[in-house]
Amino acid sequence: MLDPHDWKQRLNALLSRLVEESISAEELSELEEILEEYPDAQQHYLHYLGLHVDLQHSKSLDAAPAGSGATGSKVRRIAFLAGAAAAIVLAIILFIQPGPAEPSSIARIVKLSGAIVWTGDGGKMVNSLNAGDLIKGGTLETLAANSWAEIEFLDGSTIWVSGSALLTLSDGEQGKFIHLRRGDLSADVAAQPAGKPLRLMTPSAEAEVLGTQFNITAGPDSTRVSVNEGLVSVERLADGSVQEVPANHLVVAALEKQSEFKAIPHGVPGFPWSSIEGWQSQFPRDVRRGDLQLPVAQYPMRLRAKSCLWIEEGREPDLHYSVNIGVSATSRVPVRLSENARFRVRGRMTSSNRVLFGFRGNYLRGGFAGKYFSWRDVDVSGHPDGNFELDIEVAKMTPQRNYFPASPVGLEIFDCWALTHEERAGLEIISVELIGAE
Amino acid sequence: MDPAAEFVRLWTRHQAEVERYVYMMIPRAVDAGEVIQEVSVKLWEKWERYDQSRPFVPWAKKFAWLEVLKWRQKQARERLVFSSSLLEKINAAHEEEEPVMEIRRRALKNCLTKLNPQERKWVKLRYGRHGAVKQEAERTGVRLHKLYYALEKIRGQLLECVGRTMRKEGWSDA
Repeated sequence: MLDPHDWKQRLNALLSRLVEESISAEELSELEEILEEYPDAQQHYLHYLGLHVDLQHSKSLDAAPAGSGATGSKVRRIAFLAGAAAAIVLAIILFIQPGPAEPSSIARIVKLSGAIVWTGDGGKMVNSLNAGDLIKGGTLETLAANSWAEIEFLDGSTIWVSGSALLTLSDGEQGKFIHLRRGDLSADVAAQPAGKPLRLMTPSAEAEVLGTQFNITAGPDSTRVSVNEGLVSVERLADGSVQEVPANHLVVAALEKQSEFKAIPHGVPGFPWSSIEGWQSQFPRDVRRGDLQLPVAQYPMRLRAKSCLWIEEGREPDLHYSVNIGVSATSRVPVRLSENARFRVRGRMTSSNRVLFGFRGNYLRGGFAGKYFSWRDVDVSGHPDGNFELDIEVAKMTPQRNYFPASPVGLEIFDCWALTHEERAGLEIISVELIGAE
Repeated sequence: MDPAAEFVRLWTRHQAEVERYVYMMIPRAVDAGEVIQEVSVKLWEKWERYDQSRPFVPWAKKFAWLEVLKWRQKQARERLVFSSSLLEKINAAHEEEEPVMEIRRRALKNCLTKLNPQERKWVKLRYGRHGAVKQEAERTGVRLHKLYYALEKIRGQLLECVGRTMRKEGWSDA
């Protein structure tokens, strides 16, 4: 049995590796042993992880350091706290301002949809943002797959964030800074002052941008940067190597060093804008959401719908069962919707049901354009395996909002999804194909 | 109030707290996020049964706990997950700790002001901006593991400080 001092020291080392997500399987076993053996260690574990989470959310890191006011008599301490409280109240009042811009506002909400929470730098949480609101630095979280927001910095640089995403924004003396912890972001960046590029961080990469249009998808293990205009300098954090990504090129930066880290062209060289109009899903490469089912007997590899709750203030929560499949999001070539394009969706269900098929379109030269959908009554009663095939004309799909372009033709398709509202329908998608102009 | 609107209001307000609870059991952000999505589904499915005269968070945590166990079962063959018996123990310890968590948070705020400028800088780098620790290591030529060791020590110091503050305020278990 270890001396309490010894296990605490060892425990701290293991917990440090745990919260930094660098713990090995052997170390985790060791941690388990300590936690199992010493009840006090369990309490220590909770304190340590609680401290880590609190530090992640702490807004006190900018507070006055030791000796600058939090000492002295009780009366002085109360006065200090009252002053701090007044400052916080003032900060809260100033975070969301429907009125004209003040110098310290950094951006404006242009449009938004779905459940979105904004936390200003002072820690005040706001979940009723509106188009036109001015914001200062803080964190934006789009909570559901159907959420999205368009944000315009005061210099006209615009970002679009979509799906479940978490990002922190700031703009100060060092220039603009965006920390995309997860999710999809598209940016159209106005020319930035010399020496003050817009810096964008993700869990696995850092990008510096002086003025360009690019799309970025940040996952826990890798970041995909696709540049449409200008030049973006991308650093892979795993080894500090840097790639200059020019227009019409993309790069994938993983958290490990083994995979290729090299800017590659979007598509066919020689075209002013390279894109393709035909596309076929490939699993597991294109899986963004859903339970992948391995091939069994006559059934090929397929993606089973997972439960998902869309929440949005002022609307009833929408519980459904969905899959999400990356198109341009996971392909090395942007996929463009042509005039007569149509989707061929193959899948299976255990019972007949209504199925919604939808996709997200981006403007080909960057920026979120809209979401489009089509409902279909799918009858599988005559098919012993429950197989179905849908043929959906892109031009006839409905925009989710009336301010999205009426026709998605010409847009880049970023990702697509299929859903039902019935769990027992057992929706599985075998493949999605985009058939271009013929 | 419309029950659906009340659900949206309570869930958006308390999601972070439930996330924190799940993270204690599943200390990998991406896995915890998946579980939270499942929790939100379950809460909505059971919403009709929720007694609105009772607090929302404990009710939500019951479902979160079940989802943690379900996740654990699915990951049974993975080596990087805690055993079910340990999860039970952590969950029980969490219940005991819950009443003092807010007090600990307040104590931490005060303890942060006691860090020296260098320590504050490390904490700000680590928690303020992802990747900044590595950048700083490159800039200063200090080896990365030394910076992480420094952070480990600072977290230890902060824990000690929070414990001392709690004891001063009469919390004997801290």
